[in-house]
Amino acid sequence: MSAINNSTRLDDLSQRAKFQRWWQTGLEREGLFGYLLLIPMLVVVLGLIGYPFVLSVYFSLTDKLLAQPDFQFVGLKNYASLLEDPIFIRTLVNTFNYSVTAVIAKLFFGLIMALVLNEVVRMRRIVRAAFLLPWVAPSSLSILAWVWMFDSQFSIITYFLNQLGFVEGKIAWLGQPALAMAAVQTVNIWRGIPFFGMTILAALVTVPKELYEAAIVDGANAWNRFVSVTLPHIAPVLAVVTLFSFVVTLGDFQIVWILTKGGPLNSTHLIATLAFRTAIRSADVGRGSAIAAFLFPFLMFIIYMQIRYLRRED
Amino acid sequence: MMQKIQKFELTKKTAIVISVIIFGLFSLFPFAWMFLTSIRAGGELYTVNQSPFAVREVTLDHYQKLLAETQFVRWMLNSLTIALAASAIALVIGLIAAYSLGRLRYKGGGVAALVVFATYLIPPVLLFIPLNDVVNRLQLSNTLWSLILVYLTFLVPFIAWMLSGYFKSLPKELADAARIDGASRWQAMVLIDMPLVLPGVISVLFFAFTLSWNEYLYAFTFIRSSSKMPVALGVVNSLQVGDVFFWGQLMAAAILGSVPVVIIYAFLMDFYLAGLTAGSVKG
Amino acid sequence: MSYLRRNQKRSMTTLILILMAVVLSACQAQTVEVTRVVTEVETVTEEVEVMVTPTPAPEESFAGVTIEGIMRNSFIPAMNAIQANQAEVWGEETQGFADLTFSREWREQVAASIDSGAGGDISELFANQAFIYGDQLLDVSDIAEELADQYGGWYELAAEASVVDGVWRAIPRAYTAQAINFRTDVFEEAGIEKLPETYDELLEAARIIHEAGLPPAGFTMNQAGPNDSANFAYSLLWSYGGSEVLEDGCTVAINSDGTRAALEYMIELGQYMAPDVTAYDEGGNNRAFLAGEISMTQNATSIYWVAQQQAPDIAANIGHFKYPSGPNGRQEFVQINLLAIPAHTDNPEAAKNFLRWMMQEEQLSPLAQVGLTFYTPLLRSYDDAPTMPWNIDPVLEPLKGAADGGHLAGWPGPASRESAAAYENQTIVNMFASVLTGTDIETAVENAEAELNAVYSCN
Repeated sequence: MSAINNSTRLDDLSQRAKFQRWWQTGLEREGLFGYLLLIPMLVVVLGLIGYPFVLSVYFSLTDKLLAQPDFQFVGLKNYASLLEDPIFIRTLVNTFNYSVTAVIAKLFFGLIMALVLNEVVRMRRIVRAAFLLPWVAPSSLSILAWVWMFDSQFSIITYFLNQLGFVEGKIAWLGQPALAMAAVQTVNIWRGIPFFGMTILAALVTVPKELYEAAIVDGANAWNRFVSVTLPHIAPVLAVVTLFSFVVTLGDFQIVWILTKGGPLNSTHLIATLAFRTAIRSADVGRGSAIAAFLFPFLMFIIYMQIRYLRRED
Repeated sequence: MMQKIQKFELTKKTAIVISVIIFGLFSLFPFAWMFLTSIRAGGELYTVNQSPFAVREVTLDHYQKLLAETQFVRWMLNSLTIALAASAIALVIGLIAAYSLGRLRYKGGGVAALVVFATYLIPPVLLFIPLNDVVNRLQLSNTLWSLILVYLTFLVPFIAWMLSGYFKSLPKELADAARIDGASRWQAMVLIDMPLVLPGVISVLFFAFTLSWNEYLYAFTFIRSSSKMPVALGVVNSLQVGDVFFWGQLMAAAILGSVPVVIIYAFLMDFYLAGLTAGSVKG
Repeated sequence: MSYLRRNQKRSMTTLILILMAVVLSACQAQTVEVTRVVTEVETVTEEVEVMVTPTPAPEESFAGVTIEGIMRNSFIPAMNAIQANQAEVWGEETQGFADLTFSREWREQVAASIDSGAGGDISELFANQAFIYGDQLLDVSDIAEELADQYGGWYELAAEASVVDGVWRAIPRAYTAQAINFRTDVFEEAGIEKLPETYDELLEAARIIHEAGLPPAGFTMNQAGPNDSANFAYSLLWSYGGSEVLEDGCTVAINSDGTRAALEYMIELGQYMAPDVTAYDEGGNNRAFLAGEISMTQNATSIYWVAQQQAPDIAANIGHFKYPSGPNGRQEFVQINLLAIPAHTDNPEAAKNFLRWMMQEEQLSPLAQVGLTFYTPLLRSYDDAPTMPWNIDPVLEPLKGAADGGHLAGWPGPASRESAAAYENQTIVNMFASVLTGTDIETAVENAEAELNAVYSCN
């Protein structure tokens, strides 16, 4: 008995040693080591993103209702009926309008902010921190300040406009479709400029001084220097932040949910807010998932752009 | 010629000062307004149109009520716990994955990088319904852990993506030299390469912390008990009820809730920028 | 250079110290103040206990059992405090533990809880949500029948909102009595003596006030203020004979003469209203009223409540009158709150015991009292109970029995998931809001019809 035991133990030992050796040499192989390091991330990606994502797409092909365990596969019915729903069509247009306008504005003002910051010498730290504030303050709270600032009766913005004599009387900021859209875009832009500004600033700092000096010797004026030296150098960063911001803006939820709930007349509904309302408030998970899935073509396009760009970089 | 340059310098300076003022006003005005609202007595809100910047009676009532009658301190601590834990865990996972993607060459590495990139672009709104299911299966519903876990969905791909860029840009010679001297791959990674990306690590940590501190949609879906809410949710949840907004307290909370993040950035701004600089050039 | 760094370090340390001090003092303040809040609650319940007999002890014991409750957050903090206190008493008497959370987004949280089969052993539902969850909720017909016997029977609306396929899936706890809020001094100044009883008289009053240059009427009509807006929009639509569906609950019927008449009325009323009613959020009309900018609006009693706290001069001049009637009578949209037990609960007995207990007069009456008719039981014996706010405060008298003749969204069809979806789409509100902002009636009706067709279908 004990002999057998012993021998198995020996076997065990030698096996363990073998395993150890195999493990150590394996670790030294680039491939295995590389795969091992990826495992924790793959667990997160597959379990917390991949699985829910597939489930979400599957739900969009069913008539699943919230809190009802039984549901049926209905094919593309949800998608087809969405395309006949005026609210949804309006939402698609809103989402596109909202993202494109906001991203362009953020890029433009962010670039200016970066150029300005790059020149600021005194009180640099304070100025930078102040500019960054809108982006780092918890958005659900800062958006509430905007709710108060856009109030139809107590708006401080209206007060200023009245004092300056631009307009008479009250302005229903969140009451007219065009103004309400402008209002939610303003909040998004307000929050987003610092992100653009800081990231672009980080790139600006790395432009070699010699290039500017050379350009000055060549007689280039400020604008020419900007176009021929600065812009090409920071172009990659501009592309990356723009696409990143575009993705985030497309999926935006909070600003609209807190400021307008999609109103007035559904003029500020975005895909995210409509999907949320449909899936949770109206309990129609299938339809809600289908709405969210409409983001996908946009995202695919952006991913494609990024990949093309990255390939070229390599 | 000399004069012309000086004149140009002067106008440039004025232009910069003016732009700084404009940007500053735009960025900071909402906060100033929050602050004013938070120190006004409740009744004064309805006469605000007459003299918006005069405060007849300065009161700390709203702050006192916020701290005393709501669970504000608890929410702040919850937010801190969630943001720190989620960022830390995401950093560990993301960092080693980034090393693997950015530094090592093997079959399928390119595909893995693409997957990471694509997942980092999937917005929460596509995921929150089914994630509810996952959270419940893990029996984490209505716990701080549910948010820590779920925040990994946007933090890990982001961190892995950002840092893999850094690793790509590192010179390989140092690590190779160390390996020739007998260091294992693990040692080379931990002792040689990782310290070199420290600025990048700090800047993604900031970013991750901010994202977690501000997150709303998931918190809103997964947390039910007031005592477990992060500050972004707790404040809105308790202080705007039906058609009554407790403006004074809301704004007091907005001010206090922004303080920790602002302090971190104000003091560590240079690190953050240095990190961005190193990272952004390489995309 | 090194000096600078040292300086930085020093300021950093000071800052951290200050921060710690702040946090510590905040924590201290919290513990001290919490006791204060609790004493406040106690005084409230003490007052109440003078008026009603002590709570009957639930017979059973639920030692070690925890039930979690997801409840609607009230703008009156005392209402939450009272319920929390009651939960504690229940816990003491049964050795169980009832953990109630009061939440602004309680609807979403209940949805997430039922969908995932976890938490919310007692869940507060809103409007017709009992129909959304259906058999995911426990059958509580026995409790409903007991309560009907005890307290003079249910309003019809109660069954409409909770009986799904013949089974009570929830217990209606309370509705929000709505009325037209108005400024007595403004009405007096304008020389309006008789309070409007019909929509025509309401229009006339609005016109007189407008022409006298006094603060105008302001009826919220915006989807950012869904509850106030829907109350006025649905009531107006029904009172003029319009409806979104037929009785079958699936045939869209918005394209009718009744609808057009209601829209025409809204356009006329719009001439005399504050122009920004389409911009009000849920609190917009409250703020405008409290600031003295408008003199008439639709609301529950939250304006009155806030006015008492913050604007006593306005509070002294607030009056209420019932929703007016139209060519099709007085049809009022009613918001209703129900308590339900999800079928997934691990402790159905404890949850039922708690639910039954919370619905006893000893517990419900204090809520209704503090709630200023914002939280009114749907049991008839409360109408004349001396403790009801409308029998105490003459300003609230007009709200008495507001749920009589009340309906849920989707009427005259039955409450359903579709009617909830149409409500969430705010189709009816948007139809009225759009004619206020210049859309012509035919287009407004067409838009609404298209939206409703996307929701309702008969197959």
